[in-house]
Amino acid sequence: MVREAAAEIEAAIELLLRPPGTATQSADPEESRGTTAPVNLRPDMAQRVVSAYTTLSTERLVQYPYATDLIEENWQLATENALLRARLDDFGARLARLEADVPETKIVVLRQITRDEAKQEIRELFASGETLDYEAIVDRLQLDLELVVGICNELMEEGEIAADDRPYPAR
Amino acid sequence: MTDHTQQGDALRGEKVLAQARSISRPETFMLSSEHRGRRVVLRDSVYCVIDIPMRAIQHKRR
Repeated sequence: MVREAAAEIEAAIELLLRPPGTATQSADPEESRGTTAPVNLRPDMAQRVVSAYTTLSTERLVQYPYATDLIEENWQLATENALLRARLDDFGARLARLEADVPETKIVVLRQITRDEAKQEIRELFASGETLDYEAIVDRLQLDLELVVGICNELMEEGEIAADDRPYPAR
Repeated sequence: MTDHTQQGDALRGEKVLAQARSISRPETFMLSSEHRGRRVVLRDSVYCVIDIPMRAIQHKRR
């Protein structure tokens, strides 16, 4: 009985490690009992099942000859566990792809200040000598984009600021 | 700076800042076999500007 169980385990492991689509169905349902593991299991998943299963070695079967039912149940649970883990991995990958597509939402409440006040604040921002683009100004001052563009155009016409043409590392 | 408001006017730049009331979900399309691009549609009160880095002009004291 122990030898039969061990042979059954070996056959099941061999079936698991076989490439997808190469499984042979036995005509006798009794003969194929315990070897009906899905053959489309990925190799890494199959390996996981095998490693989970190797805790029950032939020596232990010799010590506990009536453990075959438990071994079969363990085998089924290990297979189910491997399938669930594979599905979880797939869900994780799909979720990561979806998250990458969803733009990050940031709610910005624009400040309501007069145009003169906004112009003064933009002047003070440039006074630090830093190179800034529209995005940086809008982010820092939380002002309307159109207002910022209009004021920056004015400041450029008045000669207070200019486009920074230096290459990136120099900025 | 010029405001383009006619249908068919285009903007081309390294970085374009845009705002609108509604923005579509980004779509990925193939520019070539190795390069991909992404496309969105902005609707209602759309405002776009080609971003430029600016800095204060240092006036020399006499």
